[in-house]
Amino acid sequence: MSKDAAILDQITSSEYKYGFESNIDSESAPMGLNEETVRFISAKKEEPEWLLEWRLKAYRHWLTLKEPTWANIKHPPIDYQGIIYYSAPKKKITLDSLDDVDPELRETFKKLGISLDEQKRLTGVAVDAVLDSVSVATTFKDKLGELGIIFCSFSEAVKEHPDLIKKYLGSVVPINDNYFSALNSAVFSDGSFCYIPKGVRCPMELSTYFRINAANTGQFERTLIIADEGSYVSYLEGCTAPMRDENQLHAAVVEIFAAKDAEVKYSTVQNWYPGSKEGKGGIYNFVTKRGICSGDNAKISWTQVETGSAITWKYPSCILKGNNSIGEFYSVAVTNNYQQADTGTKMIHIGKNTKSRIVSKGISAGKSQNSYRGQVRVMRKAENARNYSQCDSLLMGDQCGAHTFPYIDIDNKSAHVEHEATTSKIGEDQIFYCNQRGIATEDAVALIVNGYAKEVLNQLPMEFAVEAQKLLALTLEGSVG
Amino acid sequence: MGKKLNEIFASQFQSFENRLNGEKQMPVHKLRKDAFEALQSTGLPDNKNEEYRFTRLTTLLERSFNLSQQNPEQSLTKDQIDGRMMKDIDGSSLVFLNGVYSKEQSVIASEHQDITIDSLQDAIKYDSECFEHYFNKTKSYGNDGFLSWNTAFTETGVKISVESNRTYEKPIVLNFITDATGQQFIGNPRILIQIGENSEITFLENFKTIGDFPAFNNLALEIISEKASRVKYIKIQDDGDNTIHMSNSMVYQTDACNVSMFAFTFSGKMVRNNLNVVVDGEGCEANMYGLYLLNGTTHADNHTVVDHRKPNSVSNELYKGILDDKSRGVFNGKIYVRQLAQKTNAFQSNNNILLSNDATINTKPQLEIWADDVKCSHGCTTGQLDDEQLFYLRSRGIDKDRAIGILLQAFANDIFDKTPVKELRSYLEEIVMDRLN
Repeated sequence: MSKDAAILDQITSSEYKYGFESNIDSESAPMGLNEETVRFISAKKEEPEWLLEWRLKAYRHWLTLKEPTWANIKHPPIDYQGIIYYSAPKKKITLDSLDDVDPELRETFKKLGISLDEQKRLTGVAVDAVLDSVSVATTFKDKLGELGIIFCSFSEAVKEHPDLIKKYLGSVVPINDNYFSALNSAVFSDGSFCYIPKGVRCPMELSTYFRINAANTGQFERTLIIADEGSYVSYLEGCTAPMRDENQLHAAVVEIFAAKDAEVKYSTVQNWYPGSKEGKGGIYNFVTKRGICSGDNAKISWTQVETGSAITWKYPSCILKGNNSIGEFYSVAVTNNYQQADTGTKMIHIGKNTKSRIVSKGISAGKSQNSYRGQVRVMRKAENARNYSQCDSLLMGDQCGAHTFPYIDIDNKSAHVEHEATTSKIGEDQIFYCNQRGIATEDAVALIVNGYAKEVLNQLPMEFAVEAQKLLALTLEGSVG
Repeated sequence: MGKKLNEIFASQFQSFENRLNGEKQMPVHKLRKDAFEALQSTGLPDNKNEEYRFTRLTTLLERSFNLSQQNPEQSLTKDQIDGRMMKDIDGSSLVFLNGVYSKEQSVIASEHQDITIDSLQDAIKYDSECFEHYFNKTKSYGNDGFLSWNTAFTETGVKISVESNRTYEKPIVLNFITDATGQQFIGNPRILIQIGENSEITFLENFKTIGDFPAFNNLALEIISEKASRVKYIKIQDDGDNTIHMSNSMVYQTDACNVSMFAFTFSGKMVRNNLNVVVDGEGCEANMYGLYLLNGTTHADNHTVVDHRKPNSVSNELYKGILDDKSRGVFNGKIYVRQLAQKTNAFQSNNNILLSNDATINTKPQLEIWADDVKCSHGCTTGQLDDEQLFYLRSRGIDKDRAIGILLQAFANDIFDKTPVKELRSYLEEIVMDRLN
């Protein structure tokens, strides 16, 4: 037992690896939120009138809402007037070549292990790097352009493809969807936009790195992915944030629209600052992610590895509207110290022969609370809907908690819905088995945890899977006995 | 739940107090008052209440009842009553008319002579010490508005005490007969059962309504199970189409107890069962079984909570549902494992079959675990009958309806097999066969 204690102690002392702050001058909106702030952001981004109106509508709606309290999380009240809603790097960056990118920024990326030139040379991944609220570098654009794929920052898309934005913005997550999506709609600063034309299979993984940089800046990203008929895209999102003492709010919105026969794979590795081991600081990650399989045979697959953030509130969902459409959700959520996660998914079956699959693996350590909250809804007309859900929780130490809240609502008799959940700790017999074969306890734990999460990690694209495995090991460094 | 309901309760409570005279001085009345205060502040749960999201009981009550109306005196004949009793069951039969224990109508088996059975009024008056020791002991269960309502107006019902070291073979049947022949009825019956150390006994609860006027029974049941006792409690809900049944069952387990709870729901307008089991001892076993076989527009809602507070206990839960027509089934099972409750094994399963597209099932199996050395799992399935199984039977010359009946019965048998009283099993199987054919 003393070894357990020692190992548990060790994990709590592992420091946040990506804690640093880069000094780029930024131009910020005054602190606080009112109509002026919304107008300021819109003006800064030189947005058309209709978008400003849209933002104002969202803002006015947000005023009528109350912060939701149903999630299994606890935090001091958020002071929405104490946040700077817009900050942009001051130097205008031209994107003719990578050499034009601010050297300091490139240094930042290097520390993160995603140096642009390396990416370009080795991995074949087009990176639309987002630092704070403005996209500063876009690569591989030409190559994608040849195929008709649009992959750019959100504000660029507003200027260059207003029709698409007007048509799809808010079509999956309407402004009145929930408290945080309304807030995001009012003040979103930037994000990524992606359009895959009919029948095109995107030849590379599209990826975006988000970073929250300047102090006290809430980051309100807006991502919109449109996959037209018969297209395919795999989209990656990865996050790390520098160390901070004050809590930072992140309320992003991701919308995915999949037309007939389209397939979208959205993968996330989230490693924002989780707060100190005393539970001080850390990111509040309140995200609304939703995709709609609008046409027949469409498929949306969410994969997430959540290791960071003080509080995670996130339910990537699929609306399965088209017949034969498929929704998938694979998740590994790790909480340690005082982290809290309330995450899961919603699968709404509307079309006939729709299928969904949920695999959620929770790992709680330290004094953290980890909740799975999900809904499977089969509407009355959804003939032959199928769902399989599996939520497993692994507990490390007796100070943490694991919770499961699955909602299953069925209105059609032909539905076939299964849900399974288990909670346990790593078996002493498993450890013993490894020890017997000369594997040290700590390695055995890493081995077992990796095996436990394998089903989800396997869903990640190669380059992400490696990073995710590293993160998992890092977060749970020597955590159990 | 408006201000109006509060005013109705306030005036009812006032007249209730006036009627009580001297009893107002007794400590039990303090509990009533506290519950009344709670009811006034929380009110009855509305549909924004997470626990009552799918079961809009308060709305239905307000719509179907005149809540300020007084209950009439019951005017049932012996024949009417006899017709509603659980027959063919060898054991004691207790009769409650509009919630009031009727000694004259009840038959106590010779085996049960040493069990103390008192009407609740008598228990309050003559055995107040014991009563206070056990009454409302399990009230920590949240602030369910209906439970507060029941506690505030506690008057009718029964208190049963079983001595230590007794084993009873035969069951005690509690027949609650409600008179809705002349006008509506609203009742708050209360059952308090205390089982002494190392004793074993089985109870059977049967609610029947006579008459077509709406009836609402807001039942509260408490079982305090002392060390090493073995209790089985079976609820059979096969009541009239205008009847609403609300029950808050609370089971408190101490060391080495074994409690099995059964809930069979067949009919009624709306049935809501809250079952709360507290495992406050080591080496306990808690079993919860349920079967809801619904048709018409029946709405049945089972909310169960098992709260593991001490180490080394086991809980099993299995609820099965077959839903036809426009019926709706709701299941919510919570398992709490507290930090102290290491080495807990808790299992929960909910399986449903939908026979009609108008039927709805809302299920939410829920685990909340704070201890690490545990084995907990839940599973939940919803589907229709397997075509291949149907084909297999039909290819052997069994017609479709009969084949469906066989498969459904097999589905329900998992629960029947666990049912303790033999005569009861055949009674239940009969109901199911009737229904399925």
